[in-house]
Amino acid sequence: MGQHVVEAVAADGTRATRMLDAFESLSDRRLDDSYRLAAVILRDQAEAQDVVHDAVLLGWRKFGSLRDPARFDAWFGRIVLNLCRDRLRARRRGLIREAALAARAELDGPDHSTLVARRDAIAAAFPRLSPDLQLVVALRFYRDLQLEAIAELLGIPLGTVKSRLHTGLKRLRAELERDGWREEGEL
Amino acid sequence: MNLQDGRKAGGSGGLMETELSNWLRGLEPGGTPISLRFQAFADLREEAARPRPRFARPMAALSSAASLGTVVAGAGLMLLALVFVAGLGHTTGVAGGVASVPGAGQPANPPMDDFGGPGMSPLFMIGLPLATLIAAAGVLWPRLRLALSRLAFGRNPTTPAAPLPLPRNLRSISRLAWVLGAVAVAFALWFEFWIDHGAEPGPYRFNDLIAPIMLVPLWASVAVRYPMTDRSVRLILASTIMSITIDLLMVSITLLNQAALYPYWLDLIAVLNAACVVLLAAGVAGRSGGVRRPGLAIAAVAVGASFAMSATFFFWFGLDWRDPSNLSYAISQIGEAWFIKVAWLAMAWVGWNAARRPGAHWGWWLICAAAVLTLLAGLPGYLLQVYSNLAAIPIDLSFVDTPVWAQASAPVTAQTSDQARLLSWASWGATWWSVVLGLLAMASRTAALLSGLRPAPDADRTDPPAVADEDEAAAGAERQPSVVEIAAS
Repeated sequence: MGQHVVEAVAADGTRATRMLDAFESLSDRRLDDSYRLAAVILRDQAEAQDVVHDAVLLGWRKFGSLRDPARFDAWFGRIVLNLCRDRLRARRRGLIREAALAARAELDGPDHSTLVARRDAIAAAFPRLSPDLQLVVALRFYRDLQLEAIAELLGIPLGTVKSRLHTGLKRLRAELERDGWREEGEL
Repeated sequence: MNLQDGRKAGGSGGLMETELSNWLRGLEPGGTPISLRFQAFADLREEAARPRPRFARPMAALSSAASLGTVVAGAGLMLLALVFVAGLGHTTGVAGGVASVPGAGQPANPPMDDFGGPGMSPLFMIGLPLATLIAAAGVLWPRLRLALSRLAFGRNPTTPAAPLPLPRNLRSISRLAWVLGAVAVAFALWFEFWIDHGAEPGPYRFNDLIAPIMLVPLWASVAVRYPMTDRSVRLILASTIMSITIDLLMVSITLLNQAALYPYWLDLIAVLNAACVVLLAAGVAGRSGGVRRPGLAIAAVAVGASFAMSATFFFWFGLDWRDPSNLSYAISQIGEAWFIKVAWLAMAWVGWNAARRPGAHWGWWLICAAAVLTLLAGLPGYLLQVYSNLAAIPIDLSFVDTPVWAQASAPVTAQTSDQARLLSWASWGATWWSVVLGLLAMASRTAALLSGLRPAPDADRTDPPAVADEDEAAAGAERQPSVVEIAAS
């Protein structure tokens, strides 16, 4: 950014500049991690970039609300997750039908026992879960987070996390079985 | 399957979980694009350099006020239309709401309620709660707000601002709470208008109509405003849902009209009522983040005075104490009144002390107001009862509807004096006072909960209370200035 912007910020007062520096430093530490998480949840790197970008700006607007800097990571993480959830909700309908058809074609094909076919089946079934279920399942199976940590991160009760994880896995299994998946791995 | 953490113990049974985990890890990108970091922080600097809009706060407040006005206008229009349609039905003498006398040969007048309107029309009865629901949903649901805005002001490209700063949406309200609230309100309204039509005196009818409707925004406000991870919030929510359950229970029992159960169900209701208010007080006290306790002398006087008021009030009912059922009824009622008074006194104390702390949230004043209003609601009735008993003046209740307590304590006699008539009118006023103040207290409590009560800052503590942190993390929208100090450090 040009020098004039920095000067303008500085002219606004040293306090604001310090706040900006503090926020930039804190969010910079979280950027890589947030991007990876958003990319996994959204399964789209371009969208993940948008989400992280939006999270930085939104976080700055709400930065005055954060009282304890020790909780910045959780606070920023929740902003990222909320934005991911919004994106999932917005794009959910269009993707489901295509993904389901693609999965059926793979599993019925001659090469159905391969690892690729299994992953494709999951890739097709996973987006059919609701965004809330997707978030919990992804945090559990990608991040290996404990349920308590997921509850804290999402700001929902522990019981809700358990219930969503249970429902998510059950629905995912049902979707996979409908596409010809068998638990023993014999697709 | 191990439902605790979603992972199976191992072996071939966990194939899906293993594949899921591998698949998710396979989606992980190699590294963060440099353009992301550059663009995000460049835009951040630009955003920070952008001058703040002038009059941002008044403009936001105006937008919210306009939004609220839209909601009210939308609901009001619907209500007006319903009243108009109901009026047409009455004037033309159509069936429904017309109490015609067979063979009278003249058009009947519509039944008018205490408020001077065609309140007993079924259309109006359905329309009133529906309009209330629309208004409440409009406050909470942006899409409905947009639709109402278009109806009221024509094509509008933007959704009006949220009338209330709610960090959660309607999804955070559990289905159980929706069902309980809807059933309670529908049941109470149905009972009031179709079963108990006109049987109760005006103030009670008014109370029975408004109170169940107000219960819904009460629990909804807790659900949309606070994180359920906070124990104090769970206590408040339990209390509000218990209120609805009590409402439902009372209507059901009255409908069943089980004489055999009387007065034991009253004992049950009394216990639940007391528990409900005690839970609320515990939740509010927990939410305050801990305020200083009252001195022993003050606490003893408050508890003692509450007991004396509750006990003396009930002794004047003139019950036959030798009857065990009467005794049990009296004990439960005295206990209920006592616990409830002590709980509201505690809430007044908590609200007063939390609100007076520097930097405290203004919602604590509303909690204090709700507690004081509730305590004041019963005071005129109690004083009248004391006066009537001490002066041994019977209350002539032949010309007004009968408040229950006055009827029980002072049976109607033929020798009615002017003083007795005056006292009766005063008792009527006291009943209205009690109902109106009770509803104002409930409105104040709802507004306090909607305002997003935050723990009062403690001057002796340097780090913020844990419950406040949870809120910040949950809502990401609370406004506290201390981050400036963090940045400065």
